[in-house]
Order: sequence, then C-alpha cells, then structure tokens
Amino acid sequence: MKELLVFLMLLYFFPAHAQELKLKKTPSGIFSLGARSSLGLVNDGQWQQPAFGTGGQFRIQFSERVNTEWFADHLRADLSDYAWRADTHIGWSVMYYLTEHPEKVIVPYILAGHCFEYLKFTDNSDTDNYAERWSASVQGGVGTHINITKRFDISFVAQYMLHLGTKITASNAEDVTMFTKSHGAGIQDHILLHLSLNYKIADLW
Amino acid sequence: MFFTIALFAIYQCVAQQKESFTGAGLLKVGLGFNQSFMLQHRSNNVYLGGHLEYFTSPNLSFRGDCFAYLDTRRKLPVIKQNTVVLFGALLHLPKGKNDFYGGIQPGFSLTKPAVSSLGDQSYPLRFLPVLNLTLGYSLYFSRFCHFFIGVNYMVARYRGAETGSIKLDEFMISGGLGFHIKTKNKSR
Repeated sequence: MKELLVFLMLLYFFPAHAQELKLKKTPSGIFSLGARSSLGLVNDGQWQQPAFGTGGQFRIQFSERVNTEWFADHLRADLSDYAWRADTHIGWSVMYYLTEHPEKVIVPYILAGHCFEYLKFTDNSDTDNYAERWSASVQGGVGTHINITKRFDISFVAQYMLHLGTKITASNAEDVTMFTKSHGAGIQDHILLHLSLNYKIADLW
Repeated sequence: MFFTIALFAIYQCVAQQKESFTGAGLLKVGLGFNQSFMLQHRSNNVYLGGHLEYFTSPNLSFRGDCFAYLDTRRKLPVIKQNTVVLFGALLHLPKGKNDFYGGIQPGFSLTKPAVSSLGDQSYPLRFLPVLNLTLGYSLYFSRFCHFFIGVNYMVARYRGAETGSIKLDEFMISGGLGFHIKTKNKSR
C-alpha cells in the first residue's frame, strides 16, 4: 500500500514537471538533478592506469551566471596488473558561465570547488592487503553545457584536482605487493573528465 | 523477407499518422530477454531485462534499466553473477507511431566472474561502474502496447583479478513487448 502511494505521488509529481520550467523571477533557484560517467587520469607512477567511474549530482543556481554543483562519484582503476584502486569523491563546485545568456545551446563555463576523497588500494591476490586514506582537495576546470532542451543538458567537464592527504604508493617485487603510506600530508593530483546528464526539476525561489 | 514486411509496416504507420505518439507524461515499462556478445571473450550471455521510462517531452525521456544475468550460451561461462542497474536520458525522433531513440546511461553492476581458467581464482562479488550507450526503435501499435527493439553497448571492468582486470564489455540486443500509459492529456 505504501509503495502504491509513493508511485501515485510520483505520477502526480512528474506531469507537473513535464511542462516548460516556469521561472519565479530569475534563473536563481533552479534545481537540477543528474547522473555522470567519469574518467580519471592519475599520474602517481608507471603502475597507475586510467580510472573509470560513475556518479550523480544536483545543481542549485544562484544567479544568471553562477551555478553550483554538488556531486558524488566512485571510480576504479588498475595499479599495473597486481593491485587496484577505488576513489570515492564527494564535493561541490561553483560554475561561472562565460556567456551572458546561459539559455543558449552551448554554454561554456569555468568551475572551482572542494571535495573529499576516500582512496583505497587493494592487492589483487590478497584482499586483506590494502591501504586507505581520506583526503581533502581543491579542484578547478572548464566545462560546457549542451542544452538539448530548455530543461535538459548534457555537460562535458575537464577538471584538475589537487588532493592534500597521505600519499600511498604501490610496488610489486617477486609477486609480493606492498603499499607504502608517507608520513605527514602530501599532495597528489589528477585530472577528472566527466560527461553528465542533467534535468532541471524546479525553480526553488 | 522479414525486413521487407517490417519496413512496409513502418511505412504504413508513418503514412497513416504523422503526429507523434510520444509526449510529455508517457510512462513505459518493458520486460524482455537480452542476448549479449562479450567483445573480449568468446561468450554469449542471456539477460533478463526490464525498464521503466518517463517522457518529459516528445523528444526526451528518462529511463532506468535493470539487467539480470541468467546464463551463457557457451560451454565455459565468463560471468557467474551479474546484475546491472542503469539510469540515463534518451533522445527520441518520433514520427507517428514510430519512435527512434538513442541515449546514454551511467550506472553500476554487482558482478562476480566465473572461476578463472588461468589460476582457479575464485572472485568475490564486486560493485563496478558501468556506462551504457543505447540505440533503438519502438512501434506503438496500440493504445497500451508497443514493440521495441534495441542495441546496447555496455562498458564495465572488473578490477582485482589475477591479470589486473577483466574487461566485461558487452554488445547487447534486446527486444520485446512493452506497455505504456499516458499520465497526462495533450490538451493540458
């Protein structure tokens, strides 16, 4: 019964939002929801391979040219052929539109923000052999929306992430994998490319 | 012969009705069997697939898909367990009762490869990021039912195997009968 009620509520909700988005005053307050697919390019060592991941985000726009994106994603990559890494990001970015009218088809923007990352290295042959760490980071980059309709866009983003946290390195000699964590905080960086699909749900204020 | 009949049927539908059947508020569900071909392995897998799709305009819909691995048609399976969940957007080119579509769906899977022939390694069930690209066609032949046929290309990597990772990309063909209702009148 509960599930049926939720379903009926969804049916009621969706048609109301199938129409064109009616702005209350300005584009500020537009709330969007989306999904993303990500590619991580890490340069920690020769053992590092590109990462592939998935995630989601929501956006809250603050003015005609300033939007914010709140995201979470999970990426995985090989560490040569003896281990693998999993990156989980949760963070936010502020986007500044470079065009005066963000309702155009192509809307380029620059972005900057913060995120937190949980990183785990795991040995392929022994899952009990792992190293993990939390880190904070700043990121900046460029992107563009391609507005397919007035409410739906596909976005491409390239951003550079700089992580502040314990550095982990991996090595393998004579089929024995070792992970080494540095003492104190270090800086690691990577490039994150993502493709996202976003739909404007409502104008909140 | 089959394709000639199919093309003729499509042509008749287009000729009879120019106004698109799809529109805001159209809700679709479908259930079918899917045949996949693994690109890096000699394996043809069979999946049970289901989807739920909602149109926000005649040309745009949001769709969630779920695929559950049933079996392989080869002697040696590559996968032991695989459940895929996808969510994304589809763009449509509707014309009358015909609807051609394409889309992108990020998602994830819970995957366990079969025991390796290389080293008898038993793999744990793992969460994998997945990206799916889809193309397809729907024919709305009645008020509540439609046929659909489509192809998917699904990218996935199982990390942590003894060889580094196992590429699990699959090219999938799906088709079947779907049901739909219009939750919103066009006049509204």
